[in-house]
Amino acid sequence: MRSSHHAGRTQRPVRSRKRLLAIASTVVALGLALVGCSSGGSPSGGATDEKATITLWDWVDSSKAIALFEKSHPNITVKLDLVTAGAPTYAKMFAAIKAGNAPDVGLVELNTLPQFIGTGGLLDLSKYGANDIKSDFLPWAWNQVSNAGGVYALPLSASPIGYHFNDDLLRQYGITTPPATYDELLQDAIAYHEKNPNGYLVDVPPTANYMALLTWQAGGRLFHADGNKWEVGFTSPQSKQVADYLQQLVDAKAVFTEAAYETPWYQALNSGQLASFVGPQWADALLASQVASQSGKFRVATAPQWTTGKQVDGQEGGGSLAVFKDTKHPQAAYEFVKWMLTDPQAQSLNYQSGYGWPTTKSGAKIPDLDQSVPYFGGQNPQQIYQASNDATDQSWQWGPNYSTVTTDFNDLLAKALSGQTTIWQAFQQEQTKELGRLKAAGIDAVSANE
Amino acid sequence: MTVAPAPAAAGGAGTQSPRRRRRPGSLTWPAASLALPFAILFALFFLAPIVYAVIQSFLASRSGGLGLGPPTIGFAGLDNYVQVVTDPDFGAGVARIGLFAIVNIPITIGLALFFALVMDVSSIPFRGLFRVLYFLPYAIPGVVGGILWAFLFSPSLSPYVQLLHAIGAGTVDFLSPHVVLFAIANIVIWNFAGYNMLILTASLNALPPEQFEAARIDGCGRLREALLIKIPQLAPAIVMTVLFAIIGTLQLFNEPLILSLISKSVTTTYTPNLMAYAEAFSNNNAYLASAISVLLAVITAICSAVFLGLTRRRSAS
Repeated sequence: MRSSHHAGRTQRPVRSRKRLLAIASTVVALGLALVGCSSGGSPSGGATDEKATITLWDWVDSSKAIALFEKSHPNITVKLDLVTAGAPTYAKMFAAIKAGNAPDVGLVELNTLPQFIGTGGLLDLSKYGANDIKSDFLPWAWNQVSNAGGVYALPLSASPIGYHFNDDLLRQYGITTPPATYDELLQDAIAYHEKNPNGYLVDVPPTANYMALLTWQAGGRLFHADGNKWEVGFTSPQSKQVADYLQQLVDAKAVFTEAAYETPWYQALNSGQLASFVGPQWADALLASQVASQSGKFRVATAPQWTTGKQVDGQEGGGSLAVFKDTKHPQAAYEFVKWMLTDPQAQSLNYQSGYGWPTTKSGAKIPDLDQSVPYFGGQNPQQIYQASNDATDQSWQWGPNYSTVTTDFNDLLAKALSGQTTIWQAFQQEQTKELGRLKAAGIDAVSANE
Repeated sequence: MTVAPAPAAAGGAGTQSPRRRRRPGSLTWPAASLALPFAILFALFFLAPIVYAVIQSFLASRSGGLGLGPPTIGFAGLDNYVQVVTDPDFGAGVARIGLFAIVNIPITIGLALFFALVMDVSSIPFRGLFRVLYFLPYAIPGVVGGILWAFLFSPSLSPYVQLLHAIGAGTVDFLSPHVVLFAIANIVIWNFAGYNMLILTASLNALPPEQFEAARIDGCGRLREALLIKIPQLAPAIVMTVLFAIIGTLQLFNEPLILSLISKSVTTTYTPNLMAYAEAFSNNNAYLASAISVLLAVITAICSAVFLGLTRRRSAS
């Protein structure tokens, strides 16, 4: 042991190090050349009657709709890969785009779609006839997936919001009508926590998604495309309003501050530690599966508002189906995406499987949007969601790197909610960080406040 | 691609003098061909990734305007490095693992040395069993160990939190901003103390036993034997374990990644390695991630060299 440890020091012949280096560098160059030519291969046009197998990366089990599609399109087989929701799958998609082995079709949330467009890895669907079905979709949903350059996905789902509350718990602690404004929510939350020191009325998740939602509702903009440059607005007056408001809840220690849609959050809802949350329509499917113990006790109300008597809502989530550029069957892939989003039966199945709110004009008529839901004690929550969808501020835009914003802003918010900074400081730091990020990526951006 | 013939061998090709003197290090054809499989694998799987990472670290993906068109990937000079070095999160991450190393390495190696010396005393019963028990955590994959400890630290599940609460120590939050680093140190020490103990034990077993007999005849006790005879001879092995610990510490990744799932105090930039991971996979910026990785490798090399330099100067004087 000891002798071997010293051996390296005594004599190290300066042998053919140069030669070795020469060998090595040649091999390295060969390796790089191999890496370099792995992508490429032009997509063949191909008619729909050609036999095709397309792969779909998706985190909502759409197998029922796929089976229906395969029945009516016998030449196309769709292979569903159920993947992890959100960020981990985006990481794989980004890598796959680089490597040239992306799936044919993938689920991408509307907030992250611009970042995918920016990789150049998505197929422009206008070349396959996407503009012909433009009028089938709600205009703002169409705007989310297209720009002057093309149509980069079809909008799969909207995500109107509501106030989801455990009615039993609220009544038990004296709240008989759900809070109509954020001011009321603040007062109720503090009163609730005083009466029930082990429980919280509401949560403040340390996530960019939640901050975006509340800013959206307040009429603020995190991103706004002004001509050929972005105006970045994390420090807008509306964001300040949101940050200061949430800080009051946090300072009163009257809120649950773990990330939403994660295990501890579901645990808190199951145990009754957390009684309500402002969240998207697609939370209904998650509540039914993850918070089954409270079935029948939850109700949905209109989300709290910043201004009394005037409903302005934002959205949280919302998805699209994008076709990746390296697909060998672009026509078949487009055919599948188009069918998934416009076929009446498919739209109904999509809603049932938990994709979210339909983005088509015909989607508003599917029978599922008018049904009493046992989980919500027989309530028909769709009216609430439909009203929220109608009241959504439609000028909202997602920036060019939301996946990066999520990483940075979530970190800053985690610091704020663990008491190391304030929420407003998190917004300010994110503003600086984001402007630096965009500049480094060569994207034109200015602060919206200037 | 072929191996170039060795000049020395080529020069002597015509004469074939039996007394030809060859430089001791020069390659002959057979020798070179024997080395070829190694050279190819070494180049492909060791050098190529390093070279590739270094190249990547000087590139950047840039797009103009709104950033919604296909980006161009081009030479970016030192931009990535400047961005990393000027990012306060990177400095904070490096400082954090520095603090972590100062706390963690002495405890890990100290415990390992203590266990190795105690288990070296032949009168201790069940020595073999204890050695296996101490080593056992290393046999558990780091991620599994991390998950196991995450449950033990999680405020709502931890028996320790409940125990401390029951004896009136208040509510201890192992995951709060200023405590979580020590929670991570706890996991790492648990994981690696036994492993280092085994290295030191092997080293102890290699020491010639005669000297201990001689010492005992001279009236040397167990403690003095350990302090004055065993530890000095263990020095090279200790140096090696510390060196491995430094390298391992600077690459801290698994444990904070697991704890980040349950603690708001562990961010995506908590350690430089986590930061590189987030850049590559959350932010789709492999170029910045490469720059972070290269900087981390340089820092690791410098720390290792400084440590080795210090210990050598010591042993020389």
